[in-house]
Amino acid sequence: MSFPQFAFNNVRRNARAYIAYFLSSSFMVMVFFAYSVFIYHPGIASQNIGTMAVTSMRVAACIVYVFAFFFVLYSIGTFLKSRNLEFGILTILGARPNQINRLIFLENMLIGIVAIVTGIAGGMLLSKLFLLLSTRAIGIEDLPFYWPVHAMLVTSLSFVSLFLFISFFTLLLIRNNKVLDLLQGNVKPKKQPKASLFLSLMGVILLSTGFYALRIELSPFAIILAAVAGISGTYLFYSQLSVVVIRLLKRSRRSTWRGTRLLWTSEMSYKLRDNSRMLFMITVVTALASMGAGYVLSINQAGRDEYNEKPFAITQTYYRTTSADPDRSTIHQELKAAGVEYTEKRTDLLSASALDEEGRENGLYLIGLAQYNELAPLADLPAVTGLGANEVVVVASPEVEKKEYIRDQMVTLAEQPAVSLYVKESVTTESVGFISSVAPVLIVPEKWVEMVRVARSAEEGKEVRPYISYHYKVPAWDTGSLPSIDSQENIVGTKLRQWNTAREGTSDEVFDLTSRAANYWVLKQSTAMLSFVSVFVALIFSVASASFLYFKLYSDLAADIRMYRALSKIGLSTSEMSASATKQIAVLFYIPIVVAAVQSLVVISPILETGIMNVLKPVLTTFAGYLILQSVFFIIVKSRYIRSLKKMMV
Amino acid sequence: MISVNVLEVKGLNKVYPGKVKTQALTDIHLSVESGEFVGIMGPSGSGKTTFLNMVSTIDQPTSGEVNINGSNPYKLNKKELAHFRRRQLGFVFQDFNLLETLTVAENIVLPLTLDNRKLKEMDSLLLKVAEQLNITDILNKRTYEISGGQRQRTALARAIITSPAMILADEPTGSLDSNSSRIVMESLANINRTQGTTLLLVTHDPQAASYCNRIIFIKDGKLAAEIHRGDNRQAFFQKIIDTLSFWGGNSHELSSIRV
Repeated sequence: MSFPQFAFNNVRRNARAYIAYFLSSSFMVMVFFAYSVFIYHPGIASQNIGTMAVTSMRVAACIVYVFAFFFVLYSIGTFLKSRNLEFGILTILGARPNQINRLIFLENMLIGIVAIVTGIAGGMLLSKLFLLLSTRAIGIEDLPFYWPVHAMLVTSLSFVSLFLFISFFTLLLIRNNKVLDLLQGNVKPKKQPKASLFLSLMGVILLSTGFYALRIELSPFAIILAAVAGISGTYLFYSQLSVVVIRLLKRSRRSTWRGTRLLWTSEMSYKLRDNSRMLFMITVVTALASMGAGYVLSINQAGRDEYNEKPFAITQTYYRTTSADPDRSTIHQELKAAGVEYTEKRTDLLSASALDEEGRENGLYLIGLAQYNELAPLADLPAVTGLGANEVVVVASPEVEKKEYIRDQMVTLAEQPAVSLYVKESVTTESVGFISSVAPVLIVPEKWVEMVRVARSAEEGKEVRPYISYHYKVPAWDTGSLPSIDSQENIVGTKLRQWNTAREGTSDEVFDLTSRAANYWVLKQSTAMLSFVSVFVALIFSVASASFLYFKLYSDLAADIRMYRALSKIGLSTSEMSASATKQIAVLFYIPIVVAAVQSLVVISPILETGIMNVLKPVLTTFAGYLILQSVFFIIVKSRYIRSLKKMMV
Repeated sequence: MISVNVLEVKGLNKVYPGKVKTQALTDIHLSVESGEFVGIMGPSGSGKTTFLNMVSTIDQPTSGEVNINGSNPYKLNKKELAHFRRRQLGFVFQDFNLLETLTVAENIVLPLTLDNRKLKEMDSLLLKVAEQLNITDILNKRTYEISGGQRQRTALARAIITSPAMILADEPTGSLDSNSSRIVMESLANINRTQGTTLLLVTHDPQAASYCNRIIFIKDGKLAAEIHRGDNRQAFFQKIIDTLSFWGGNSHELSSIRV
C-alpha cells in the first residue's frame, strides 16, 4: 500500500465522518459556480438590468467564498482534533512528522478536489435551471445555456487555491503536539467550564449597550456602536454567560435533580462551551441573513401594498402650470389605443395649514365638496352631504395625528384665523392614501377653497393655484391581483412614464406621472435581484451551519457512546437516553436561531416604531423559513445520532 | 433467619454464534443467599465476565434460567429491564464509569434523580452513604480531582444508594494501587456485614477475593471449584492461592495485576 493509497483508504473508510464536510464543500462550490455561470454569461452585458445583476451576484459569490474559507478551516481543525489518537498511533509506529503532514495534506486535497469536481458537475446540471430562475426572478430576457469555460476555470482555480492554502495552514496547527498528548487526546478529563465574572459582566454590558444605543437615537454612529457591541456581546454570551446561566440553573437542585435533567444540563454546559465559537458564528450569520432578507421582503411587501392601495391606475399631477385645463391628449390616446374603458377625475388640491394649541402651523389639503363627492365612490371614500357654510369633514389616514389639527371639534386655518370651521365629521381611512398619507384632506364648501387661495395669494404676493391632478380609473385593470410584467397595465404605464420623463424640462410646468403598475415593477425588479441572491446565500449559511453541528456531534460521538453505555448498565433506559441526547442536540440546533431572532427583533423594533414600513412580518417569515430548514436538518442529524447511540445500549 | 436465595442460576449456557462458535459457559448452576458475599475467580477467558453479564441482565443467556429476587429479568421488556437494573442491582466497574461532567454528589444521586425521587430523600440518602464510605468531604469535587480509591468509593456509593437487592462488582480493584484496593474491599465487606447487602464479586486478585465468604472458580466456562472462608482471612488467602495454582496452573494467575 503506497502512501497516497493509505490516505485514500483513510477517507474512503471514514466516509461517514467526511460525508457532511464533503457535501457542504461541494454544495458551496456548486453555488459559487452557478453564480459564475451567470456572471460570465456572454448575453448578460446586453441586458438592461444585467450589470446590476452581475454586481450583486459578484458580491454574493464573494460572500460564499469567504464563508467557504472559514467553513473549511474550521471543519478541518475540528477533524484533526478528533483524530489525535490516530496520529499518536502513527507516531509510535515510527511515522515521521512530515509523513503525517503529508497524510493530512493528501486527505484534504483529495476531498477538496473531489468536492470541486462534483460541485462543478452538479452546477452544470443546475445552471440551466439557475439561469432560467434568475432571469425570471430579475425579469430579464431568457439567457441561453452555454459552455461555461470561464466560469469553470474561475471556480476551480479559486477553490483549489482555497484548499491548498488551508491544507498548508492546518499543518501549522498540529506541529507541536506531544505523542502522549496525542494518544490521550480524546480521553483526557474535560475541565469544568469556567466563566470569568469580569467577562460575563462585560457581556451583559455590551448587550445592553447595543440594546440602548438603538433606542436613544437612530444615527449611523449608534447603529455601528450597536452592531459592534451586539456582536462582541453575543460572543461573550456563548463563551461566558452560557456557563454562568447553567451553573445558576444547577444551583437550584430542586429543579435540576429530576429525571434526566441532571444529566443533560451538565453535558450541555460542556457542549455549549466547546461549541461557543461555532454557535456565535451561526448566530451572527443567521441574524444578518434574516435581517437582510427581512429588509428585502419588507420592501417587496411595501411595493405590493402600495399597488393594492391605489384606486387609480394612472395619475398625472401638475404642481405648476399656467393652463387651467392642461393637455392630456397623449394619455387619452394611449388608453384608447389599449382599447380599455376609463374614467377621468380631476382634483384641485390647495395646500393650507391649521393652527394647533401652541400656534404652530400644520400642513393640510383643501378640496371642494362637489369635486370630492365625484371622486369618492371611485376611491372607496365616504360621500359627504349636507355640509354647512362653515363646516368641514376631515379625512385622514391612520398615520396622521388628528389632534394637531382639530381642537374642540374646530379647525382654525392659518390663512383665515378669524373664522374657525366646525368639524362635522372626522373619518380615518387608508383609502385617502393616494392623495396624501401624511397630511389630512379637508372637505370644505367651494367658497372656502377660493377664500384661502385668495388669502394665500395676497400673503405670498403672487397668484397661488391648487395642484391639478387627473386620476384615471381603468376597471379592466382592477383585477384584484398584482400585474404581471407583460400585463397591459404595466406596458401602457411604463410607456406613459417614459413619455412623461422625456418632456420634463421642456417648459416651465412642473408635473409628475405615476403608474401604479410601473412603480410596482421598478421596485420589484430592483429587489428581486437582491432577494434571489440573498436566498441562495442564506441557504448556504443554513446548510453549512447544520453540517458544522453534524461534525461537532460526530467528533463527540465516541465519548457519548462510552458514557451512555456505562449509564445503560446501571439502568438508564433507551428512551431516557434518547430524551437526554435529543435535548442536547436540539439546544445546539435551535439556540442560535432563537438568539438571532431575538437580536433581529431588538434591532428592528426601533425601526418599527418609526412606522416607515412593516418589517416585523418579513423578518418573522424569514425566521420561520430558517426554522423549518433547520428542523429538517435537526431531524436527520438527531435520528442518525440516536441510532448510533442505541446500538450501544445494553 | 430464613435464608432466601437472591440469585438462582440453573443450567446456564452461553454460546457466541459466528464463524467460530464459542461455548463461553456450560451448564452453570449457582445459588446465592441473601446477605452472602460471593467471589468468582478464574483465569482470563474462563467466562467470568460473561457470567457476570448474564447475572447483570446485560447479556442474554443461550439457555438456562436466571432468577433475581424470585423474578426472571429476561421476561421484562427493555424499559422494564432498565428500571429493574436501576432498582434491584448495583454496579461497580473496574474503570468506575463515573461521569466527569458531574460532581461526586451528582454522580451518586444520578440513579435517584432518574427515578424522580424527592430532594429531601435524596439528600438524606446521599449523606448516609457518603458518611458510610467516608467521602463526605469530597462531595462537591469533580471526578478528575479525586484519587482512584475515592472514585471507586463514589461508584460504590452510587451502587448502594438505591438499596439494591444485589451488588455486582466487576474487578473493582483492577485499576487501583494496593492501599486503595484495601480500602475499597473493606468498604464492600463493611456494607455486606452491616447492611446485609448481597455481593457478587468478579476478580483476578486473590487479595481482594479473600474478603469474600465463598469463592466459585470457573475454568473454560465450567464451574471448577468452590471454597468457603473460615474465621481467618489470611488462611483463606492461602487457600485461594492453592486453589488457583491447582486449577489454573500458571504462575502469572497469582499476580494481583491483571495482565
